[in-house]
Amino acid sequence: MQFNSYIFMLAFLPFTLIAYYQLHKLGWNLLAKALLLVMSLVFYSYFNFRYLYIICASILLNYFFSKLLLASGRTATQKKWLLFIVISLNLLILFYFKYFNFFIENMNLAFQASFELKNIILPLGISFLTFQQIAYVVDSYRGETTDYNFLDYAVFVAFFPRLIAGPIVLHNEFMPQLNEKKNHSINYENFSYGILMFAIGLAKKIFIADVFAKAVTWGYGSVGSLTSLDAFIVMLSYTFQIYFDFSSYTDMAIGIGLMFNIKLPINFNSPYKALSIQDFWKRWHITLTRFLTKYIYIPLGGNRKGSIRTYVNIMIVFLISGFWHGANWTFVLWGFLHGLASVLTNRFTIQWNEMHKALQWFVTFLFVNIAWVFFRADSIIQGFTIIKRIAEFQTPAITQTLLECFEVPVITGLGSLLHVVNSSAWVNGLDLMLFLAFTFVIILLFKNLHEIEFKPTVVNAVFTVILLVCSILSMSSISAFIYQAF
Amino acid sequence: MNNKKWVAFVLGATLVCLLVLMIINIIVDPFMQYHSPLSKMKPYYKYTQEYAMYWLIGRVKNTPTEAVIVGSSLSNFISSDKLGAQSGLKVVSLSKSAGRPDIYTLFLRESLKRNQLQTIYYELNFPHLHMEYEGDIPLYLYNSNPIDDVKYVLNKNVSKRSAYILISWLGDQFQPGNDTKRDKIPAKTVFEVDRSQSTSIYSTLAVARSLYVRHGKVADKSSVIDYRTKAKNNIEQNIIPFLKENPEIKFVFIVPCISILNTYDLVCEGTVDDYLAIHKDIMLSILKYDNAEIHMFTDLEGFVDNLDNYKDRVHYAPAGGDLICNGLEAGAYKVTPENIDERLRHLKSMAESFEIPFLKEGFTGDDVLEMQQHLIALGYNCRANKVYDEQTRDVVAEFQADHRLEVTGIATAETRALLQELSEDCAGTFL
Repeated sequence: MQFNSYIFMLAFLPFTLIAYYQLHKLGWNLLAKALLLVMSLVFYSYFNFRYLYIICASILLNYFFSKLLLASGRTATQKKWLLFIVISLNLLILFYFKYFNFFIENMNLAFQASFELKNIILPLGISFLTFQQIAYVVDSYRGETTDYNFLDYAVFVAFFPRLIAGPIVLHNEFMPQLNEKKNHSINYENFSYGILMFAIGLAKKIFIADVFAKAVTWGYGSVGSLTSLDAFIVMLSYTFQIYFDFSSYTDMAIGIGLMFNIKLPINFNSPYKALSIQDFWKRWHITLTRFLTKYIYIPLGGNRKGSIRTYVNIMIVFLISGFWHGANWTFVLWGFLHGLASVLTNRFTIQWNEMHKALQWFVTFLFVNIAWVFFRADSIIQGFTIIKRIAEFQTPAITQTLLECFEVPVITGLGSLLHVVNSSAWVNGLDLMLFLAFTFVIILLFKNLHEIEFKPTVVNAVFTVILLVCSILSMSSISAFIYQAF
Repeated sequence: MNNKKWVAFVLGATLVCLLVLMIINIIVDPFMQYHSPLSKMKPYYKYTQEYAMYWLIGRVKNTPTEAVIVGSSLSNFISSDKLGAQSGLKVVSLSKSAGRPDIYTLFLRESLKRNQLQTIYYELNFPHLHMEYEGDIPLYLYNSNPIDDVKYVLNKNVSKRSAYILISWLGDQFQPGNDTKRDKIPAKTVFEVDRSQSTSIYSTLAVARSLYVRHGKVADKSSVIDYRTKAKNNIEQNIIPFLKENPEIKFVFIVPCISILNTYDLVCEGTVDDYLAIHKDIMLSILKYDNAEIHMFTDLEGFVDNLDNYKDRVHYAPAGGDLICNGLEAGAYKVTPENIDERLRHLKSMAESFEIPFLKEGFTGDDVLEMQQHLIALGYNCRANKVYDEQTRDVVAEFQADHRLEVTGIATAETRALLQELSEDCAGTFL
């Protein structure tokens, strides 16, 4: 089920909320939790019924092993083996669903063989599911988890707001909130802020991300005929699309979490304000960076074993990150580029800091843009074609189709108010320019949602109503979120 | 305002707004999903191409009828009024530009559910018979799940249309006759709407300027096999079931009067026999059913071979629609198992003897070579390579400019005649 669908907003969410709090009110706390679990499974299997088996199997497996790890009287070696087995099993599941075909394709390519590809459906969010549970079993191995009961664990894994695209939550952030007595009745402070977050997230998805999506889909679908300026705008569009798409999902997830009195960790902190690549990774997909740092980088030795080992460790983390995003060499290249940039800024920190702040920002932003090109491209060659187009620097010309992607009724309406409709090409250009300018303003000048101190006022109430109504009306053509696929 | 009130206000106001919009959309119902247009607001309903997949199904649902026409833009000029007058039935046209058999199925299924149909006019356009509809279909209007209707009653586009209709109507209540534009665009059948939207220029030059390109290459047979599989599949899935299940309904298949260029191309690429055999096969499989008849207009002499009647290789002038209606009434173009071979032979011989009046960029062939030689003879800097490339186009444009013809870069009949004449004169002076 998508957040931006009628069935979710008008039926699923209201029902789950009301039933959850009602059960708590009646004192049936266990039943309330069970409801949350059942509804989460419904939410997940609504995409595809077969997902249900996978998630159930995965939950049972990991809970069983974490129990074994927590049981007293095991030697350190036994525990190590247990951990090794459970992580391998998790990775095997992930590998089978996500990378099997990729593996076969490359085998075929390398050895001129012709193994058959399997028709495997990628369960949404399986990467998130796996990482979160690996984190949990590692914590169990370290003895950091307490003995949670099965229901708690299952809700922790399957909690529907964050099920398919994160944020990746740690057990100690989640379980205490779930079992806290005062969280079992509606807290209007959380609830109102949750609604605002959800409304803003939804609007970001529908009115910003999906507009860029049109341009990106067109651009990557007709790489051969792009002009330099086209390619540049398409590149920029994807940079914006992926940010607004993913962060809007997180906003909605956090908003819904708040409605259930569960604060999920923040995932974005204005990433495009970053002044270096390392800064970028502290702001972009924060919970993934946290996971990779805590469970890969530091166990590898982090920066404690000399600079060469540090660089190697950084590269490993970024290559894993790249591969985690998808089974394609483009993602690996993307990870490699980010790793390289990270190593370089690490090596030349002093020189970097001497640069003017504006230049730091510009270089970082440009690099991130170029890396996103490979992230989005269907193949590495396609990525290079786009970069080459941009670098060719032809006379500025924009294809009409691309301009039309940015025809937003509000701006076009504004244009007709200004009586400039007579030269329609100009108005189209106006749409594009205003839209990009608007996006830049949001990205660079606005505060983050979590930084705003929310006070209930009539103004923001009306604002929220307008956002909700407009979004719901615009939902008839429903689009999926990018990060679900990872 | 405290948090509790804020939540109550936001949720309450959102709900009220949505409810109001929903009620307005149901009452006004701009795409006729629940009822036909309210009589007072009728003039404000607009049936544009953009929303055709919305209002066509609405028309199916809420216009009682005895006969329907399903087809693509090639059926736009088959007037439902005329057919109605001929047959004495109420006929509703459901032609959708770029329509394909799969969406005709959607329309017919719904229409059969709601009406006692007596006749179904079905466009059978061979060049597109292997294709599926490529546009977006608001599928929630095409199923019988009432919950899915939420996508209609809470839809931005629907609300926009509703608001437009309501505001125009209210405006007229206060200031009647203010909107003079409205009277010029009467809400008539699709037939009228499409006529106003399409380019009205029908001429050989219009055809030459369209996307049409003649390829000189011999086509490989895999495309023929592909066409046969897909077209037969389409027939099996979208036509035969209707014929079988509705023996009491008369099915009139119309092979519309597309230009001879379609068959001419097949002759050029050497696949004409293969394709005509497939067409024969398909027509015979339909004619097996007693309730089916086929009227074929692709070999209408004097019409399909005169490109002045077209704006591209398939879209014919309004007069073609009248020819079809008259033909249906007289039954003169009916295809039967007895005459099918003769009809197809006729079509083939027409295509074989057809001479294309114009040459344009992208063409290849001996006629191109001949023209290039003429140009060279007249001293123009042109390669004689059988290919009408960019250079040839520019040279032709130069020639046209030199001789005060319309500069198009397309070798029209006029241009070619002059070229021929001058180069012969020129050859004479050398001798």
